[in-house]
Amino acid sequence: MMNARALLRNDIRQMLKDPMLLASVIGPLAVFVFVRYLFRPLSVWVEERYAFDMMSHAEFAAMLLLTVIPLLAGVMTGLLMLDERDENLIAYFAVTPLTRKGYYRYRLLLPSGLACLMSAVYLLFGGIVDVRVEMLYPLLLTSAEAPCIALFLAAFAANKVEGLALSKLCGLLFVGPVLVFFVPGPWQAVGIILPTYWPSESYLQAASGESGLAAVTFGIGAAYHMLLLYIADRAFAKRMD
Amino acid sequence: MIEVKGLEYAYPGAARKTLHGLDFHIGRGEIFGFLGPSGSGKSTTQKILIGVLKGYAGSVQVLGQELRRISPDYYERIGVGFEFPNFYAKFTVMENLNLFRSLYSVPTEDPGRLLERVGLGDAVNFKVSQLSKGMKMRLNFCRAILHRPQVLFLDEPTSGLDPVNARLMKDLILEMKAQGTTVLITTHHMQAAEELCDRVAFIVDGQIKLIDSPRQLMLRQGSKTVRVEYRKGEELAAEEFALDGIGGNAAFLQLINRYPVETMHSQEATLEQIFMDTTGRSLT
Repeated sequence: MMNARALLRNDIRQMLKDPMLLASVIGPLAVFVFVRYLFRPLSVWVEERYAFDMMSHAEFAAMLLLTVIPLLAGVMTGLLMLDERDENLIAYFAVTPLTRKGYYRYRLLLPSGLACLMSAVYLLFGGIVDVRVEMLYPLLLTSAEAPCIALFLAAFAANKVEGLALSKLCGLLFVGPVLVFFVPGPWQAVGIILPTYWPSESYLQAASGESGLAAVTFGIGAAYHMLLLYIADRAFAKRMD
Repeated sequence: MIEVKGLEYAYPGAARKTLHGLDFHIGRGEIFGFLGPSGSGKSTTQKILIGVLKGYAGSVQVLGQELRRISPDYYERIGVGFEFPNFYAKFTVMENLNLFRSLYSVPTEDPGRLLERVGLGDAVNFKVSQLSKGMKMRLNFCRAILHRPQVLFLDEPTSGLDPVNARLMKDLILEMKAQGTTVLITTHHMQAAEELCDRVAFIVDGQIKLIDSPRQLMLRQGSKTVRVEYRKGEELAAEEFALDGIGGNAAFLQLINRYPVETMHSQEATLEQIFMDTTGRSLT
């Protein structure tokens, strides 16, 4: 716990010195502010001007924007890990009471916890969709996405520049909610390899009153996220060795 | 303090072992040097001793603990200075030390005082990216001893240091020894080993070929003679004399009385020569 506090202080200091990292924290706040204060006035304006009802797509917007939060938290952590890996600092942490295991634990729980907290605030207080207990499904699943993204960057990028390039590839994750909300039945199967497919699908099923099916989808999604986490963890461990 | 018996290690997936049954003992307050060329297994041995590699065969006990079963507390008692002194480059010297200091629960040194001792008192607020390699090496040493470790592992501690700072570093290591700290140095710099180590082990192809004090090795493997270089007219001449009974050696006495002597050296072996003779390999 003491070590986690020390590392957290260190991360905050790093964020304050690096505008890109700072943007990763400000980004989710901007998403929340947009949803809470700008989405409704914007939809009124769009409806008046273009006769398009944005509010009828509020659930899609909520899920799409929810994808942004773990993406930013994961990218931020991934870039921090890349820096620490390239500077060989992980080797130094490994020979302190923190240990390598403690370092990993902190680095994976940080984005997960951040994503969970910020997503919860976003869903509970965003105000564009009704609060229901099934919101826990997308909340938990997207929280598991953040450490996957962090490990993916840290394992596959050779350096920070490559890390930034790979983080752009993570933009593909936005396709998940699009498939769920706009692509008809069988074609949605294409999306099952995207982790973001599962939170949107479970949420949509719950919103349609199919609670049992939503729970099953959540279960499959959770198992898939765990598998991705395991693969990314192995890849990172191999890279470190 | 450190007790190693029959240590063997093979990296996962490797066809052959890197270490082939090492046996050695290092006592409290001893400075022990692991010498060997790149790829000899000395870094692997150090990684095992600092608890980073665990899948070894044999027994490795440090501070009474078998390293397969160590807990994070082990790192409260050992200090490690790797060869490459890496830090958070955007942070200051003090911010870096404070970060690492906060990872320990045991009493730690005052970083400001440590920095003064290694000549970095004026660099406290410098960003690490502004430091030279030599300054980083000294900072690296400070990080390794922040928590007053009982055993200190140093990899190439004088690498990248100018002669003045190399001397400073050696003095600090000797100071640690005087305080009872056991120091294990991994290096291929023979001179540093000769000056610092109570005992050295030559490791080649994962085996210890020789283990003893540098002085004993140098005397045992050298020739018991003295070589005198002297000026004979315009010519520079040299002669060797047996050390035994040199006080009564008429030829020797006549030479030093008759000709201007320019140099006079006993012919003990150098560590580098011993290494090459023993292993048939050079220290590269």
